[in-house]
Amino acid sequence: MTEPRMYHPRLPLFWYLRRPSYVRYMLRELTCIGIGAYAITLAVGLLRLAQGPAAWQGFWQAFSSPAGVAFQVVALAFTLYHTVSWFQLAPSTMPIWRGETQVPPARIRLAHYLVFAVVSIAILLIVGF
Amino acid sequence: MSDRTLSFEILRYRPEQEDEPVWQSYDVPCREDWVVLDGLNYIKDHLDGTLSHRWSCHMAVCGSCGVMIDGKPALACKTFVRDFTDTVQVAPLDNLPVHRDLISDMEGFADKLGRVEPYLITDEDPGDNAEFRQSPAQLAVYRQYTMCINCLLCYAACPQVGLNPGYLGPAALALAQRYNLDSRDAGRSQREEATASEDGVWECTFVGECSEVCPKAVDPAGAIQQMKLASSLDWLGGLLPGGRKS
Repeated sequence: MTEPRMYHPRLPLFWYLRRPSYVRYMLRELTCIGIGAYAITLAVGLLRLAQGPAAWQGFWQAFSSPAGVAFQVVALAFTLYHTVSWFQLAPSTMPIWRGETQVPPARIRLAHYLVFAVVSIAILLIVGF
Repeated sequence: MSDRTLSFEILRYRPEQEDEPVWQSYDVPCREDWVVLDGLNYIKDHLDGTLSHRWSCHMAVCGSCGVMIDGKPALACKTFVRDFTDTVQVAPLDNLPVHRDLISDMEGFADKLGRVEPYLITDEDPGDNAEFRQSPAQLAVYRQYTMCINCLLCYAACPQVGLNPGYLGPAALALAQRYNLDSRDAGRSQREEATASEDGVWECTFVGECSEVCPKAVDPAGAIQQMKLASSLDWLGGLLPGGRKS
C-alpha cells in the first residue's frame, strides 16, 4: 500500500509582505546597509587623509556637499532605527536573574540606552578636544 | 440556540481528490461563547463528516489544534468566534507539510526534537537512589521553556522554517536551551553538535514572530539568541590555549 501524498506548501517570494511584523523585521535588516555604507565612507575618508591634504580636502568637500549631508542624514536615521530595534530585543537575548525574579526588560533596555549615551558623549568630548 | 451565523472558509486538501488545497465554505450557527474549534467540530458533526482536524483538550494544553486563523498561527481552542464579523478563514499551519485538510505533518518535528537530545545528560551515573536537588532560583531560570506544548505555531510563524525545512526550528531549540540552563544537566556541548550545526541556531535571523505567537508565553527567539552567544563563546574559548573545546 502506498503512503498518501502530502502537500508541501512553498513560502511565497514576497513572504515578508504578509504581516506588518515581517515588514518591520526586513526594515531592521535593511538598515544595516546604511550603517555599512557609512562605515565604508569613513574608511575611505581615513584613506584619503593618509594620502595627503589635497586628497583629504576633496573628500571633505564631497562629504559636506548637499548630497553628502543627505547621505549622512539617511545613514543616521538607519542607524537609529537599527539601534532602537535591537535594544528592544536585548532583554530576551540577555535575561538577568536575581534569585527567582527576572530583572524587568525595561531596565535592561534603559541600561543599553545609558551606555549608548555615555559612549556617545565620551566620543563627542574626545573629538571635540 | 445559535446567536449568529459565521461563515467558516476552510482550506481543504484531500490527496485522493486534489493536487493543491482548495477553499470550502460552511455556514455555521455559532454561540457567542464558542471558540473556532467548536465551529470546526460542528462542521464535522453536522455539516461535513469528511473534514479532518486535530484536537483533544479544548483548553490550550495539548497543543493539537494549531491552525492558521485569518492568516495567523493560533490555537483553534483559544480563538473566540465573537472576534470575527462575518467570516473566519482556517487553514493548516504554514511551513509544514499537510497530510489532509487541517492536519499538518508532525514527524519532521519529532525528528528534530530527537536531534537536540531533550533530556538530562549527566557526566556520571548518579546511581539508582541519587537525588537531583535544585533550588527555586535554579528552576526559575529555565521554567518558562518547560511550558512549550509542541503546538508548532512557532514553526508556522517562522519564515526561516519555510526557507530551510531542515532548520531545527524554535520549539526544538527552546527545549534544548531548557536543558542547557538546567543546573542538573551537563549536556550542552553534546547538544551543540545539533544546535550549533548548519541547521541549528545560526539559521535564525531573529524575526521574533515565534515568541509573539506562542500561546504559552514561551520565548523561543530569546532562547536561540542566548544559545548563539554561548556557542560563540565556546568557539572563542576553543581558540585560546587551554580553552574549552566543544
